[in-house]
Amino acid sequence: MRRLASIAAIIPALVAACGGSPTHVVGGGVLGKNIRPLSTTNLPQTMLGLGVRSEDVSKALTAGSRSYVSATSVYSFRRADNLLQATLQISQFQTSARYQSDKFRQTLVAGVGGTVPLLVHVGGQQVWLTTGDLQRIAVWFHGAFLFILAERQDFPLSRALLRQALQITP
Amino acid sequence: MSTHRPARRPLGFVLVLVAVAALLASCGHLTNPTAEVDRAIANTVAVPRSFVYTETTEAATITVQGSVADDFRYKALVSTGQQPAFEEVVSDDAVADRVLSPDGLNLFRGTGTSASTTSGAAGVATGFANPSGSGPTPADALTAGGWVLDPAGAPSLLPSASSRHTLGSDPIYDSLTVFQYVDQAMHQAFDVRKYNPDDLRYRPQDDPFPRPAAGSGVTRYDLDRRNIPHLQQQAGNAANQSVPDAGMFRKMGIYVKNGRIIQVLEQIDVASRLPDLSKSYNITFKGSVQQSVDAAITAINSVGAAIGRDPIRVRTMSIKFVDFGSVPDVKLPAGATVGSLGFLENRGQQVLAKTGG
Repeated sequence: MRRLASIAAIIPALVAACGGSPTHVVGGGVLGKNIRPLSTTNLPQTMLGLGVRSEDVSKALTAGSRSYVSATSVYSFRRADNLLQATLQISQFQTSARYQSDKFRQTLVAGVGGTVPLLVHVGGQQVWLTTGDLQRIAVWFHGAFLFILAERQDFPLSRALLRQALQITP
Repeated sequence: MSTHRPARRPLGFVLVLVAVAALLASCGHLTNPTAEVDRAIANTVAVPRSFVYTETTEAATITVQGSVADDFRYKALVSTGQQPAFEEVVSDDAVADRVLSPDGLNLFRGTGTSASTTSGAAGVATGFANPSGSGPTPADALTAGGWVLDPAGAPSLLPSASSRHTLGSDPIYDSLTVFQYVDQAMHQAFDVRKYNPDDLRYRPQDDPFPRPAAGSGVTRYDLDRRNIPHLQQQAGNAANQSVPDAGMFRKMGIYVKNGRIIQVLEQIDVASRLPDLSKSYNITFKGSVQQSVDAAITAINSVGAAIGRDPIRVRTMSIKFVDFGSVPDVKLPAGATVGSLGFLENRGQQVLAKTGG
């Protein structure tokens, strides 16, 4: 849970930092405590045999500063023995965010992970791959939504889970 | 009086050219060749496609015929000379390989740095045991020409501490990542220019590539190689700045049609740089041109290795793309022996280094 919380807390700060103009953030940003969970998602109960459930990250979010994100939910993917295999964060941008701008996206992606992101195409979707601490990380955008899939480095079905996650439309 | 007229005409011509050049310079941002190639690359990688990649070195000619549905689903057939040698199908995390000639195994035999995919057993990781304990080992099955399926051993596209992709060590990887290579080559080049035989910088004697056919709709972009630094320029420079890199030998032509890359041609031409190398480094080359090239590259790569540079690979390379938008049928073979392919280069589940990120 501590890892889940830390992942969720990163994103609002990250999005705020990548906005470019600080005044833009101050004028239109959302305080961490005001970021709400996503109202609906169509995540199945299981994916690739892993149990999928929504995690409570509200406490972690309250620590966040102003951001372009108005709603965020984090989902865990666990084996039957409860071992965490992956998390998926889905965040919804405010309408004032320039989330359709390539520069906005690239700046945001560059702040995720510890290696230079690699752009790949999977099922017609642009996905940025990077790595974190013992994790593989995939980042993509769908309309006003940002997706960040973080998987254990030893999870053997990394790409299959990503391909299924790409089908999720909040 | 009449004798003066012929002399004035060229002057007028030059003035017009200067005016046109100034005009072009003022709107240079609209016709930035590097940006145009970048856009063409982005358009090309976004769609399914097939390709034929050929690399010729002094030692061999290797061809990869591939079809890409997306970056995680593709198939490739590798040939040495005219002989099919190795076949691969990748579907997400799974990779299936088949060796079609002894050359195929030699081409992809790795250094054994990959981890076991599932069981963690050392024997599985090296391909000399079968996870079920019976039947052929992955290595035996490959040697016998059968398919071996590693459910989690697809080649990594991300660089990691445990996998270093040296050009030539994995021709399938080289063919699939050719656009990263082209991008890197553009950064190493002195300039990227649209092919124009009327350009004063164009030297037909240095151009090994075919010109686009008239009316074909093909635009060619050329990479200008950087000069070998003169001795005076090297004085006071850091050691790694004095060692020639691939950008000083590379000739590359990039052919674009309908906004997509249709072909890339490359020649790492060391022979034509031998006089410059001789002058800049006070070296006297002996023997044939090929012997001189070998001696020069051995010396450069030796110094380059000491400062962590990838070796320069003397080669000609060609990749041609066809069938844009046509989704290939990428299916894993039925009846394959299941086991780790970690004993092959860049295959088998990779161990990622802790990044601290």
